[in-house]
Amino acid sequence: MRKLRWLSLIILALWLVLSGCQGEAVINPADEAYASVDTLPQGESNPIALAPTPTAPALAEPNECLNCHADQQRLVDTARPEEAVESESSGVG
Amino acid sequence: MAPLEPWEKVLVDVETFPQTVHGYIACTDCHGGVQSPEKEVAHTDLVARPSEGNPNACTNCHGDVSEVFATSLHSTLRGYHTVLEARSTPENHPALETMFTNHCYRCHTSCGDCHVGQPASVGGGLFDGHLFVRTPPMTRSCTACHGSRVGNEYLGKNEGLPGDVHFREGRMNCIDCHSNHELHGQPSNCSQCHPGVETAEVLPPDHRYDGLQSPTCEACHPNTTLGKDNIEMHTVHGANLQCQVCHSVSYSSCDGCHVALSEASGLPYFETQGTYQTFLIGRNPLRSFDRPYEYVVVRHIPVAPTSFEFYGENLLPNFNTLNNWAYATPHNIQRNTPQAESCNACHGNAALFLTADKVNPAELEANLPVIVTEIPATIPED
Repeated sequence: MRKLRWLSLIILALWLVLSGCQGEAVINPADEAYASVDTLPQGESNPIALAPTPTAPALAEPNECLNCHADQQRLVDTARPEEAVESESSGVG
Repeated sequence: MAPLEPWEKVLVDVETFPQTVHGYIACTDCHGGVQSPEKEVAHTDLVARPSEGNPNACTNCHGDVSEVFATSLHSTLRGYHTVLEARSTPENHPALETMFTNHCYRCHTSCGDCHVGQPASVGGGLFDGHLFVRTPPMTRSCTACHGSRVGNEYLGKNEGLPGDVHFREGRMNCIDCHSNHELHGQPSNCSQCHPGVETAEVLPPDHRYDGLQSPTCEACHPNTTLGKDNIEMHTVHGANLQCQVCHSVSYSSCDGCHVALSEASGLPYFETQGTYQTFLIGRNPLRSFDRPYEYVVVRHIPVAPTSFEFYGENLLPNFNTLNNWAYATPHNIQRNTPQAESCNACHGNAALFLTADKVNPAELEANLPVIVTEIPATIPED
Protein backbone atom coordinates (compact mmCIF):
# COMPACT_ATOMS: atom_id res chain seq x y z
CA MET A 1 0.00 0.00 0.00
CA ARG A 2 2.86 2.35 0.94
CA LYS A 3 4.59 1.47 -2.38
CA LEU A 4 1.47 2.39 -4.29
CA ARG A 5 1.22 5.79 -2.53
CA TRP A 6 4.88 6.57 -3.39
CA LEU A 7 4.34 5.54 -6.98
CA SER A 8 1.34 7.90 -7.25
CA LEU A 9 3.35 10.80 -5.81
CA ILE A 10 6.21 10.21 -8.26
CA ILE A 11 3.81 10.12 -11.25
CA LEU A 12 2.13 13.34 -10.09
CA ALA A 13 5.51 15.09 -9.65
CA LEU A 14 6.67 13.95 -13.09
CA TRP A 15 3.41 15.21 -14.70
CA LEU A 16 3.81 18.63 -13.04
CA VAL A 17 7.44 18.95 -14.17
CA LEU A 18 6.75 17.83 -17.74
CA SER A 19 3.66 20.02 -18.18
CA GLY A 20 5.85 23.06 -17.58
CA CYS A 21 7.82 22.14 -20.69
CA GLN A 22 4.71 21.86 -22.90
CA GLY A 23 4.55 24.17 -25.97
CA GLU A 24 2.01 27.02 -26.24
CA ALA A 25 -1.45 25.79 -27.10
CA VAL A 26 -2.58 26.61 -30.64
CA ILE A 27 -6.10 27.98 -30.63
CA ASN A 28 -8.11 27.66 -33.77
CA PRO A 29 -9.81 31.04 -34.39
CA ALA A 30 -12.96 29.26 -35.39
CA ASP A 31 -12.96 27.39 -32.09
CA GLU A 32 -12.51 30.71 -30.29
CA ALA A 33 -15.48 32.14 -32.09
CA TYR A 34 -17.65 29.25 -31.09
CA ALA A 35 -16.32 29.55 -27.54
CA SER A 36 -17.38 33.18 -27.43
CA VAL A 37 -20.84 32.22 -28.64
CA ASP A 38 -21.13 29.79 -25.80
CA THR A 39 -20.34 32.48 -23.28
CA LEU A 40 -22.86 35.01 -24.62
CA PRO A 41 -25.62 35.89 -22.19
CA GLN A 42 -28.91 34.31 -23.13
CA GLY A 43 -30.90 36.43 -25.58
CA GLU A 44 -27.92 38.27 -27.02
CA SER A 45 -27.01 37.65 -30.60
CA ASN A 46 -23.59 36.54 -31.66
CA PRO A 47 -21.63 39.61 -32.78
CA ILE A 48 -19.13 37.53 -34.71
CA ALA A 49 -21.77 35.70 -36.66
CA LEU A 50 -23.67 38.93 -37.49
CA ALA A 51 -20.73 41.13 -38.37
CA PRO A 52 -20.80 41.84 -42.11
CA THR A 53 -17.81 40.75 -44.06
CA PRO A 54 -15.75 43.90 -44.57
CA THR A 55 -15.65 44.68 -48.23
CA ALA A 56 -14.80 47.75 -50.16
CA PRO A 57 -17.78 49.81 -51.24
CA ALA A 58 -19.14 48.46 -54.48
CA LEU A 59 -18.93 51.88 -56.03
CA ALA A 60 -15.22 52.16 -55.32
CA GLU A 61 -14.60 49.68 -58.12
CA PRO A 62 -14.52 50.89 -61.71
CA ASN A 63 -18.13 51.67 -62.32
CA GLU A 64 -19.53 52.95 -65.59
CA CYS A 65 -22.81 53.87 -63.92
CA LEU A 66 -21.08 56.19 -61.52
CA ASN A 67 -18.65 57.54 -64.06
CA CYS A 68 -21.62 59.06 -65.83
CA HIS A 69 -24.02 59.77 -62.97
CA ALA A 70 -21.40 61.68 -60.99
CA ASP A 71 -20.49 63.85 -63.97
CA GLN A 72 -22.88 66.75 -64.27
CA GLN A 73 -21.71 67.86 -67.69
CA ARG A 74 -21.96 64.37 -69.11
CA LEU A 75 -25.50 64.06 -67.79
CA VAL A 76 -26.38 67.38 -69.39
CA ASP A 77 -24.82 66.33 -72.69
CA THR A 78 -26.49 62.94 -72.84
CA ALA A 79 -29.91 63.89 -71.49
CA ARG A 80 -32.75 62.98 -73.77
CA PRO A 81 -34.29 66.22 -75.06
CA GLU A 82 -37.54 66.82 -73.24
CA GLU A 83 -40.35 68.32 -75.22
CA ALA A 84 -41.98 70.91 -73.03
CA VAL A 85 -45.66 70.11 -72.94
CA GLU A 86 -47.79 72.66 -71.18
CA SER A 87 -50.28 71.05 -68.88
CA GLU A 88 -53.91 71.66 -69.75
CA SER A 89 -54.96 71.14 -66.16
CA SER A 90 -56.63 74.05 -64.48
CA GLY A 91 -57.61 74.69 -60.92
CA VAL A 92 -56.37 73.12 -57.73
CA GLY A 93 -55.51 69.44 -57.98
CA MET B 1 -41.62 73.20 -55.32
CA ALA B 2 -39.40 74.11 -58.26
CA PRO B 3 -38.97 71.31 -60.81
CA LEU B 4 -35.52 69.79 -61.08
CA GLU B 5 -33.41 69.88 -64.23
CA PRO B 6 -33.13 66.45 -65.88
CA TRP B 7 -29.47 66.11 -64.84
CA GLU B 8 -30.28 67.12 -61.26
CA LYS B 9 -32.72 64.28 -60.97
CA VAL B 10 -30.08 61.61 -61.50
CA LEU B 11 -26.82 63.15 -60.25
CA VAL B 12 -25.13 60.89 -57.67
CA ASP B 13 -22.95 62.24 -54.86
CA VAL B 14 -19.81 60.29 -55.59
CA GLU B 15 -18.03 61.51 -52.46
CA THR B 16 -20.64 60.53 -49.91
CA PHE B 17 -22.89 57.85 -51.34
CA PRO B 18 -20.25 55.11 -51.61
CA GLN B 19 -19.55 55.49 -47.89
CA THR B 20 -23.15 54.82 -46.93
CA VAL B 21 -24.74 51.43 -46.34
CA HIS B 22 -26.48 51.48 -49.68
CA GLY B 23 -23.23 52.41 -51.37
CA TYR B 24 -22.01 48.88 -50.71
CA ILE B 25 -24.58 47.55 -53.14
CA ALA B 26 -23.70 47.49 -56.81
CA CYS B 27 -25.84 49.86 -58.90
CA THR B 28 -26.97 47.02 -61.15
CA ASP B 29 -28.18 44.95 -58.19
CA CYS B 30 -31.09 47.34 -57.78
CA HIS B 31 -31.31 49.12 -61.12
CA GLY B 32 -30.50 46.36 -63.57
CA GLY B 33 -28.81 47.59 -66.73
CA VAL B 34 -25.29 46.64 -67.74
CA GLN B 35 -21.84 48.12 -67.25
CA SER B 36 -21.08 50.12 -70.37
CA PRO B 37 -19.80 53.60 -71.19
CA GLU B 38 -22.55 53.89 -73.81
CA LYS B 39 -25.75 55.23 -72.29
CA GLU B 40 -28.12 53.24 -74.49
CA VAL B 41 -26.28 50.00 -73.77
CA ALA B 42 -25.89 50.75 -70.07
CA HIS B 43 -29.62 51.37 -69.78
CA THR B 44 -30.60 48.02 -71.27
CA ASP B 45 -33.36 46.60 -69.05
CA LEU B 46 -32.88 49.51 -66.68
CA VAL B 47 -35.09 49.59 -63.59
CA ALA B 48 -35.46 53.29 -62.90
CA ARG B 49 -37.68 52.79 -59.85
CA PRO B 50 -36.44 49.63 -58.13
CA SER B 51 -38.74 50.01 -55.13
CA GLU B 52 -41.87 49.49 -57.23
CA GLY B 53 -43.84 46.31 -56.71
CA ASN B 54 -43.76 43.67 -54.03
CA PRO B 55 -41.26 42.16 -53.61
CA ASN B 56 -38.85 44.81 -54.79
CA ALA B 57 -35.21 45.78 -54.41
CA CYS B 58 -35.82 46.90 -50.83
CA THR B 59 -37.40 43.63 -49.74
CA ASN B 60 -34.16 41.70 -49.29
CA CYS B 61 -33.07 43.86 -46.37
CA HIS B 62 -36.31 45.58 -45.35
CA GLY B 63 -38.76 42.73 -45.88
CA ASP B 64 -40.68 43.41 -42.67
CA VAL B 65 -41.50 46.94 -43.81
CA SER B 66 -42.09 46.29 -47.50
CA GLU B 67 -44.50 43.44 -46.78
CA VAL B 68 -46.71 45.68 -44.66
CA PHE B 69 -46.26 48.64 -46.97
CA ALA B 70 -47.80 46.70 -49.84
CA THR B 71 -51.11 46.88 -47.94
CA SER B 72 -50.87 50.58 -47.07
CA LEU B 73 -52.96 53.33 -48.60
CA HIS B 74 -49.76 54.95 -49.85
CA SER B 75 -49.18 51.87 -51.96
CA THR B 76 -52.67 50.65 -52.83
CA LEU B 77 -54.59 53.96 -53.03
CA ARG B 78 -57.41 51.77 -51.79
CA GLY B 79 -59.41 54.79 -50.65
CA TYR B 80 -60.07 55.83 -54.24
CA HIS B 81 -61.36 52.38 -55.14
CA THR B 82 -63.58 52.35 -52.05
CA VAL B 83 -65.44 55.50 -53.00
CA LEU B 84 -65.49 54.82 -56.75
CA GLU B 85 -66.97 51.38 -56.20
CA ALA B 86 -69.53 52.75 -53.75
CA ARG B 87 -70.72 55.39 -56.22
CA SER B 88 -70.68 53.18 -59.33
CA THR B 89 -71.87 49.77 -60.44
CA PRO B 90 -69.78 46.74 -61.52
CA GLU B 91 -70.43 47.26 -65.25
CA ASN B 92 -68.77 50.68 -64.94
CA HIS B 93 -65.66 49.42 -63.20
CA PRO B 94 -63.57 48.79 -66.37
CA ALA B 95 -64.10 52.37 -67.60
CA LEU B 96 -63.36 53.72 -64.15
CA GLU B 97 -60.26 51.57 -63.92
CA THR B 98 -58.97 53.15 -67.14
CA MET B 99 -59.73 56.58 -65.73
CA PHE B 100 -57.98 55.64 -62.49
CA THR B 101 -54.88 54.43 -64.30
CA ASN B 102 -54.69 57.60 -66.39
CA HIS B 103 -55.40 60.17 -63.71
CA CYS B 104 -55.09 58.78 -60.19
CA TYR B 105 -52.51 56.04 -60.17
CA ARG B 106 -49.52 58.36 -60.34
CA CYS B 107 -50.22 59.26 -56.71
CA HIS B 108 -49.18 55.71 -55.81
CA THR B 109 -46.08 55.82 -53.63
CA SER B 110 -43.12 53.46 -53.43
CA CYS B 111 -40.30 53.29 -50.86
CA GLY B 112 -38.02 55.45 -52.97
CA ASP B 113 -40.61 58.23 -53.30
CA CYS B 114 -40.06 59.06 -49.64
CA HIS B 115 -36.60 57.75 -48.83
CA VAL B 116 -34.35 58.69 -51.75
CA GLY B 117 -36.13 61.00 -54.16
CA GLN B 118 -39.12 63.18 -54.85
CA PRO B 119 -42.37 61.38 -55.63
CA ALA B 120 -42.90 60.42 -59.24
CA SER B 121 -46.20 62.31 -59.21
CA VAL B 122 -44.29 65.60 -58.96
CA GLY B 123 -41.65 64.71 -61.51
CA GLY B 124 -39.28 62.64 -59.39
CA GLY B 125 -35.58 63.33 -58.97
CA LEU B 126 -33.11 62.39 -56.26
CA PHE B 127 -33.27 64.40 -53.03
CA ASP B 128 -29.56 64.64 -52.47
CA GLY B 129 -27.20 62.69 -54.71
CA HIS B 130 -28.87 59.31 -54.07
CA LEU B 131 -28.34 59.54 -50.31
CA PHE B 132 -31.11 57.65 -48.56
CA VAL B 133 -32.97 59.41 -45.76
CA ARG B 134 -34.71 57.80 -42.83
CA THR B 135 -37.06 60.77 -42.42
CA PRO B 136 -38.67 62.08 -45.61
CA PRO B 137 -38.09 65.82 -46.11
CA MET B 138 -41.45 67.44 -45.46
CA THR B 139 -41.75 69.83 -48.39
CA ARG B 140 -39.97 67.67 -50.97
CA SER B 141 -41.79 64.51 -50.08
CA CYS B 142 -44.92 64.78 -47.91
CA THR B 143 -46.38 68.09 -49.04
CA ALA B 144 -45.11 67.56 -52.57
CA CYS B 145 -48.15 65.28 -52.85
CA HIS B 146 -50.30 66.53 -49.97
CA GLY B 147 -49.79 70.15 -50.88
CA SER B 148 -52.91 71.85 -52.11
CA ARG B 149 -54.89 71.27 -48.94
CA VAL B 150 -52.76 69.87 -46.09
CA GLY B 151 -49.51 71.54 -47.12
CA ASN B 152 -50.99 74.97 -47.68
CA GLU B 153 -52.95 74.81 -44.45
CA TYR B 154 -50.09 73.52 -42.33
CA LEU B 155 -47.48 75.94 -43.69
CA GLY B 156 -49.82 78.94 -43.62
CA LYS B 157 -49.91 79.48 -47.38
CA ASN B 158 -53.61 80.28 -47.57
CA GLU B 159 -53.94 84.05 -47.70
CA GLY B 160 -54.94 85.60 -44.40
CA LEU B 161 -54.86 82.34 -42.51
CA PRO B 162 -52.15 81.36 -40.04
CA GLY B 163 -50.18 78.16 -40.36
CA ASP B 164 -50.74 75.33 -37.95
CA VAL B 165 -49.55 76.07 -34.41
CA HIS B 166 -47.57 72.83 -34.45
CA PHE B 167 -45.54 74.23 -37.33
CA ARG B 168 -45.47 77.91 -36.33
CA GLU B 169 -44.51 77.32 -32.72
CA GLY B 170 -43.20 73.79 -32.69
CA ARG B 171 -41.61 73.48 -36.14
CA MET B 172 -43.03 69.98 -36.15
CA ASN B 173 -42.53 67.80 -39.18
CA CYS B 174 -45.26 65.51 -40.53
CA ILE B 175 -43.68 62.44 -39.00
CA ASP B 176 -43.79 63.99 -35.55
CA CYS B 177 -47.47 63.04 -35.58
CA HIS B 178 -47.73 60.53 -38.40
CA SER B 179 -45.72 57.52 -37.29
CA ASN B 180 -43.92 55.08 -39.52
CA HIS B 181 -46.60 52.52 -38.67
CA GLU B 182 -49.18 54.86 -40.14
CA LEU B 183 -47.17 55.79 -43.21
CA HIS B 184 -45.96 52.26 -43.93
CA GLY B 185 -49.31 50.64 -43.13
CA GLN B 186 -50.73 48.90 -40.14
CA PRO B 187 -48.87 45.81 -38.98
CA SER B 188 -51.17 42.87 -38.41
CA ASN B 189 -50.42 42.82 -34.70
CA CYS B 190 -51.50 46.45 -34.27
CA SER B 191 -54.30 45.49 -31.87
CA GLN B 192 -51.79 44.22 -29.35
CA CYS B 193 -50.99 47.81 -28.50
CA HIS B 194 -54.27 49.44 -29.51
CA PRO B 195 -57.12 47.27 -28.25
CA GLY B 196 -60.61 48.47 -28.95
CA VAL B 197 -64.02 46.91 -29.12
CA GLU B 198 -64.20 47.39 -32.88
CA THR B 199 -60.60 46.57 -33.67
CA ALA B 200 -59.91 43.07 -32.42
CA GLU B 201 -58.60 42.39 -35.89
CA VAL B 202 -56.89 45.14 -37.80
CA LEU B 203 -57.33 44.88 -41.52
CA PRO B 204 -55.70 47.11 -44.11
CA PRO B 205 -57.67 50.35 -44.28
CA ASP B 206 -60.32 51.02 -46.91
CA HIS B 207 -59.80 54.76 -46.79
CA ARG B 208 -57.87 57.34 -44.82
CA TYR B 209 -60.36 57.51 -41.95
CA ASP B 210 -60.89 53.78 -41.70
CA GLY B 211 -60.13 51.93 -38.48
CA LEU B 212 -57.98 53.30 -35.71
CA GLN B 213 -57.62 57.03 -35.49
CA SER B 214 -53.96 57.75 -35.85
CA PRO B 215 -52.62 60.17 -34.93
CA THR B 216 -54.87 61.48 -32.20
CA CYS B 217 -54.60 64.87 -30.56
CA GLU B 218 -55.11 63.22 -27.17
CA ALA B 219 -51.90 61.23 -27.54
CA CYS B 220 -49.97 64.43 -26.84
CA HIS B 221 -52.73 66.34 -25.02
CA PRO B 222 -54.21 63.72 -22.67
CA ASN B 223 -55.42 66.24 -20.12
CA THR B 224 -57.98 67.55 -22.56
CA THR B 225 -59.96 64.34 -22.25
CA LEU B 226 -59.29 63.67 -18.59
CA GLY B 227 -60.85 66.89 -17.32
CA LYS B 228 -57.55 67.96 -15.79
CA ASP B 229 -56.86 71.10 -17.78
CA ASN B 230 -59.55 73.28 -16.17
CA ILE B 231 -60.96 74.24 -19.57
CA GLU B 232 -64.71 74.15 -19.25
CA MET B 233 -65.35 73.59 -22.96
CA HIS B 234 -63.27 70.39 -22.88
CA THR B 235 -65.23 69.12 -19.89
CA VAL B 236 -68.62 70.02 -21.29
CA HIS B 237 -68.12 68.76 -24.84
CA GLY B 238 -65.83 65.81 -24.21
CA ALA B 239 -65.79 63.44 -27.17
CA ASN B 240 -68.87 65.04 -28.70
CA LEU B 241 -66.79 67.35 -30.82
CA GLN B 242 -63.88 66.53 -33.07
CA CYS B 243 -60.95 68.67 -31.83
CA GLN B 244 -60.86 70.56 -35.14
CA VAL B 245 -64.37 71.92 -34.56
CA CYS B 246 -62.94 74.32 -32.01
CA HIS B 247 -59.29 74.41 -33.01
CA SER B 248 -59.12 74.77 -36.78
CA VAL B 249 -59.79 77.74 -38.99
CA SER B 250 -60.96 78.02 -42.60
CA TYR B 251 -59.70 75.42 -45.00
CA SER B 252 -60.00 74.63 -48.71
CA SER B 253 -63.04 73.15 -50.37
CA CYS B 254 -63.27 72.34 -54.08
CA ASP B 255 -66.03 71.91 -56.64
CA GLY B 256 -66.52 70.04 -59.87
CA CYS B 257 -63.34 68.24 -60.81
CA HIS B 258 -63.49 66.76 -64.31
CA VAL B 259 -60.82 64.70 -66.00
CA ALA B 260 -60.06 63.98 -69.66
CA LEU B 261 -57.29 63.21 -72.10
CA SER B 262 -55.98 66.11 -74.15
CA GLU B 263 -56.97 66.08 -77.82
CA ALA B 264 -53.68 67.78 -78.68
CA SER B 265 -51.17 65.80 -76.64
CA GLY B 266 -53.10 62.78 -75.46
CA LEU B 267 -51.97 63.56 -71.92
CA PRO B 268 -54.35 63.43 -68.97
CA TYR B 269 -55.55 66.66 -67.45
CA PHE B 270 -58.12 67.90 -64.95
CA GLU B 271 -60.24 70.97 -64.43
CA THR B 272 -61.47 72.06 -61.03
CA GLN B 273 -64.36 74.48 -61.23
CA GLY B 274 -63.82 76.21 -57.93
CA THR B 275 -61.63 76.30 -54.85
CA TYR B 276 -62.60 78.41 -51.86
CA GLN B 277 -62.12 78.65 -48.12
CA THR B 278 -64.82 77.26 -45.86
CA PHE B 279 -65.33 76.49 -42.23
CA LEU B 280 -68.44 74.41 -41.69
CA ILE B 281 -69.47 72.04 -38.96
CA GLY B 282 -71.50 69.01 -39.97
CA ARG B 283 -72.78 65.83 -38.41
CA ASN B 284 -70.24 63.04 -38.27
CA PRO B 285 -70.79 60.61 -41.17
CA LEU B 286 -68.14 58.20 -39.85
CA ARG B 287 -69.28 57.88 -36.25
CA SER B 288 -67.56 54.90 -34.63
CA PHE B 289 -65.74 53.79 -31.51
CA ASP B 290 -62.61 55.51 -32.80
CA ARG B 291 -64.41 58.63 -34.02
CA PRO B 292 -67.30 59.06 -31.60
CA TYR B 293 -67.90 62.74 -32.31
CA GLU B 294 -71.38 64.03 -33.03
CA TYR B 295 -70.01 67.05 -34.87
CA VAL B 296 -67.00 67.32 -37.16
CA VAL B 297 -65.75 69.83 -39.69
CA VAL B 298 -66.65 68.99 -43.28
CA ARG B 299 -64.93 69.85 -46.53
CA HIS B 300 -66.54 69.89 -49.98
CA ILE B 301 -64.64 67.41 -52.09
CA PRO B 302 -64.59 68.00 -55.84
CA VAL B 303 -66.20 64.82 -57.12
CA ALA B 304 -69.36 65.40 -59.16
CA PRO B 305 -71.76 63.00 -60.90
CA THR B 306 -70.15 63.96 -64.22
CA SER B 307 -66.50 63.99 -63.08
CA PHE B 308 -65.54 61.03 -65.28
CA GLU B 309 -67.95 61.43 -68.18
CA PHE B 310 -65.02 61.57 -70.62
CA TYR B 311 -64.78 57.81 -70.04
CA GLY B 312 -68.48 57.05 -70.34
CA GLU B 313 -71.96 58.22 -69.52
CA ASN B 314 -73.35 58.00 -66.03
CA LEU B 315 -70.37 56.17 -64.56
CA LEU B 316 -71.41 57.12 -61.04
CA PRO B 317 -75.12 56.13 -60.95
CA ASN B 318 -74.96 55.70 -57.16
CA PHE B 319 -73.43 59.10 -56.59
CA ASN B 320 -75.75 59.82 -53.69
CA THR B 321 -74.53 56.81 -51.74
CA LEU B 322 -71.74 58.92 -50.25
CA ASN B 323 -71.72 62.52 -49.03
CA ASN B 324 -69.41 64.94 -50.84
CA TRP B 325 -69.29 67.29 -47.89
CA ALA B 326 -66.77 64.97 -46.31
CA TYR B 327 -65.28 64.39 -42.87
CA ALA B 328 -62.18 66.56 -42.78
CA THR B 329 -59.12 67.02 -40.63
CA PRO B 330 -57.77 70.46 -41.51
CA HIS B 331 -54.10 70.89 -40.70
CA ASN B 332 -54.32 74.45 -39.43
CA ILE B 333 -54.80 73.93 -35.71
CA GLN B 334 -54.87 77.02 -33.49
CA ARG B 335 -55.13 77.34 -29.75
CA ASN B 336 -57.58 80.23 -30.07
CA THR B 337 -60.16 80.44 -32.83
CA PRO B 338 -63.15 82.69 -33.51
CA GLN B 339 -65.66 79.89 -32.92
CA ALA B 340 -64.16 79.00 -29.54
CA GLU B 341 -64.05 82.54 -28.16
CA SER B 342 -67.21 81.99 -26.19
CA CYS B 343 -70.13 79.58 -25.95
CA ASN B 344 -72.30 81.71 -28.20
CA ALA B 345 -69.60 82.25 -30.77
CA CYS B 346 -70.69 78.80 -31.88
CA HIS B 347 -74.04 78.08 -30.21
CA GLY B 348 -76.82 79.67 -32.17
CA ASN B 349 -74.42 80.73 -34.93
CA ALA B 350 -75.98 79.14 -38.01
CA ALA B 351 -73.21 80.50 -40.26
CA LEU B 352 -70.82 77.90 -38.86
CA PHE B 353 -72.99 74.88 -39.59
CA LEU B 354 -73.62 72.95 -42.79
CA THR B 355 -77.33 73.54 -43.14
CA ALA B 356 -79.43 72.49 -46.14
CA ASP B 357 -79.45 76.02 -47.59
CA LYS B 358 -75.64 75.84 -48.01
CA VAL B 359 -75.76 72.63 -50.04
CA ASN B 360 -76.16 72.48 -53.82
CA PRO B 361 -79.75 71.22 -54.34
CA ALA B 362 -78.43 68.49 -56.66
CA GLU B 363 -76.31 67.20 -53.78
CA LEU B 364 -78.86 67.39 -51.00
CA GLU B 365 -79.67 63.70 -50.95
CA ALA B 366 -76.01 62.69 -50.90
CA ASN B 367 -75.33 64.95 -47.95
CA LEU B 368 -78.28 64.18 -45.72
CA PRO B 369 -76.02 62.29 -43.27
CA VAL B 370 -73.93 65.40 -42.62
CA ILE B 371 -76.43 68.25 -42.89
CA VAL B 372 -77.21 69.88 -39.55
CA THR B 373 -80.95 70.28 -39.14
CA GLU B 374 -80.96 71.89 -35.74
CA ILE B 375 -78.41 74.50 -34.73
CA PRO B 376 -77.25 74.05 -31.11
CA ALA B 377 -79.22 76.52 -29.05
CA THR B 378 -77.81 79.75 -27.70
CA ILE B 379 -76.55 79.49 -24.14
CA PRO B 380 -78.27 82.00 -21.84
CA GLU B 381 -75.83 84.57 -20.45
CA ASP B 382 -75.44 84.60 -16.65
